[in-house]
Amino acid sequence: MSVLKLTYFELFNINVNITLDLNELNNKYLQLQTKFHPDKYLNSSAVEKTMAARISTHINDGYKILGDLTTRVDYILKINNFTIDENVTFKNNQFLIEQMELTETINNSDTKQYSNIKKEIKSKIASLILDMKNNLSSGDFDILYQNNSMIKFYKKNINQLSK
Amino acid sequence: MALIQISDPDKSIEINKEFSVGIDLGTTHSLIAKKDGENLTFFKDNSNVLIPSIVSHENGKLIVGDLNSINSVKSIKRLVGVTSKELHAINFEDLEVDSSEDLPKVSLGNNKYNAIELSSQILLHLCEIAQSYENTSVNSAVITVPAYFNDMQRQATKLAAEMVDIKVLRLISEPTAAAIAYGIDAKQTGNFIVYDLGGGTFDVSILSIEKGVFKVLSTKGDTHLGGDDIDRLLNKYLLNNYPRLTKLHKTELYNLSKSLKHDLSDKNIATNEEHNVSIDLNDFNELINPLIEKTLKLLSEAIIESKVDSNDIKNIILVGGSTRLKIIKSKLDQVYKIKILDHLNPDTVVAEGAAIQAEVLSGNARDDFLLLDVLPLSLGIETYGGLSEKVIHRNTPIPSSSEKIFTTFKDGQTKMMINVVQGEREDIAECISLGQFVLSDIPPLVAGAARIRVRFQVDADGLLTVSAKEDTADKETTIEIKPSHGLTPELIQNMITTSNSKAEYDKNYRALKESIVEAERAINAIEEALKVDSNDLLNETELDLINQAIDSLQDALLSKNIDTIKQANDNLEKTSEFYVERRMNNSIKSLITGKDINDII
Repeated sequence: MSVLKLTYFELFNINVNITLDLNELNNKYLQLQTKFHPDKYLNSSAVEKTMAARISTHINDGYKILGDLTTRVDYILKINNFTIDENVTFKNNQFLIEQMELTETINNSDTKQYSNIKKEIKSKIASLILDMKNNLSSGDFDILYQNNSMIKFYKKNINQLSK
Repeated sequence: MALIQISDPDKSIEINKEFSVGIDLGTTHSLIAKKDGENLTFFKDNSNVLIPSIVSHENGKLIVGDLNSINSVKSIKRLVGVTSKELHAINFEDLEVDSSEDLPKVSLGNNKYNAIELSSQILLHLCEIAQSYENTSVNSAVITVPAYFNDMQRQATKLAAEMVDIKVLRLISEPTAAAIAYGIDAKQTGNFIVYDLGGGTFDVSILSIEKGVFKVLSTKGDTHLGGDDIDRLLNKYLLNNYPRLTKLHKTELYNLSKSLKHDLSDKNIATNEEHNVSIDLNDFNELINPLIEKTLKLLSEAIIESKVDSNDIKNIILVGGSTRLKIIKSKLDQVYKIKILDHLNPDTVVAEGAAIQAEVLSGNARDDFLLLDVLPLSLGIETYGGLSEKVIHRNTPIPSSSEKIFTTFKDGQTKMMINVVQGEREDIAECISLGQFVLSDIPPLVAGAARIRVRFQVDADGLLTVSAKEDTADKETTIEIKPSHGLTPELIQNMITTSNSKAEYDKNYRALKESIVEAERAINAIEEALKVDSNDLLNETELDLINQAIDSLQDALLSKNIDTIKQANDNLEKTSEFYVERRMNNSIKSLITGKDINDII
């Protein structure tokens, strides 16, 4: 087994969790890249160059995925062998109705109200994060997936409000 | 057959010391510099640090420099990495372009040349200048490119260097180079704006620098916004206000505008007595205000995209001769209350950063310094309906890889055209096609059943390799391509063989020298490694195998035969591959603390 087979959590030596300390992630990232970036192997043999390029890529890929909440949760689902059937779209009618209402609210409000709406959405995300932590510890991956999908919608709302 | 020189033992040490330079290959002018410890040298051409990026044809030869010749090509950088199909999107005023072939060509003398050929002439000229100072030829270089240069433009730049035997250590973006020049002394940490208004182009980047690590958070730019545009506006202004100037030759008019502009960087009114014209600073500022506003708009877009609060930005670094204009500093001051850094010469700061990075990468400098770059533009694939499906998003730290699964559109479809594109827009027409290839032998299944994995791998220079794999059937088809965008292997080979840069003998000798260096490096690396951890990582049989391979490479070195050396070197690499891999895995041990390494490997 090699470095390339480590999960990103193992690679960065960070406990598997829904939230993580981004400063810690950043520090570990810099430490790892300082060791494995191809620039450090320009005068090395061809084998070392290829290895370094692969490991450095793995570190970057992991940094990208762990650095963001929703991709991190997707990754946790993946390493727990929870596969999502791509043909089944997200089905939670109550939530979808709420989304439609929210979109309408956003369209009908002026920019001054945006920060308040954002605050509301952020508190919803915060409570979903708490739920997800419980889902993870109890192994309810199906619900974890549902909650993560809702956060993805909320993030889109926030992006829309930030434009 | 030419005799091969055998150097004496002392000289062989010389071989190992590379002559590495930093090159700022600019639209209007280029620079070449070397950093050696505390010493920074700019190599001058006719006592000029700024070497005009102009190629002229005289007496049957191509000559680089401003000869004021009618038979010359300026701003060839605008055409680097651009295919004839994309010419419509480019504004190349002064160039007469023949677009009958894939790569556009310009006429010089009796011949036509593409942008790569002419860029390589400029690079060759720069290296010859450096060589005349140092009495040794340039081995390798860090070359700067605009931050938003796409894959095609980067490949073309690299190829131009390779054509004249310059090994490219790394392509780095111009604003990053500028920040390196400013950052290395001060060891600064924080976010920075690099505002680069050059002769022909405008670039703005938001960088984050932390513990010697440089990240480009976002970049914006305009390939047609710079000092030349200011000159053009000034030309128009002069012709409107002084109609008698129409009788002036075009070059004379440009020179007049340039000198007035320069005067206005430290005066409130500029006058030219010979032509009896004058312009005051207020009129001038009003004239160029739309251009400056355009740069400010791009700057604010870059800040938004970087997701950095403008209060968290430490400095604005000014790059490019045009930033000497007073209006730029005062406007930046007005909009952002951020300290402006301008104590380095804005014309040379990019080349300085490239020279510093060349020293680091050639192994001659501090070890703790690392430049982490990002992908400048998103990479994707054309999907049904002419849309781009992004596979790797822009600003992803590189090297990076990503995989997407695509499927067939029709029942029984056995072939699939994969069009690799680069750009931010969803509409394929707004992106640049990097290359197309056909994946065949897909098993005939119902629409949507085939699973085609397309994998993108971007290296540390931002250059892309694409592979595609069909994995529905037991049969596995893998195809790997480097996007070529008009640069067919035949064309590249043809350009290299026709480049009259180096004599054949010189090339052979150089290749031998390089294979010796490579072999010595490999032996040295392995022996050093064995001293450290051969006891822990290798059993006796394994150690014997590696030592045998080292011995036979050492024997091969004595033969001074390039093929023998290469073969023995390949053998050593193959034999020691498992050991190198073990070492790499083991070295992560020191980084992962609090866990037994056996638990994770």
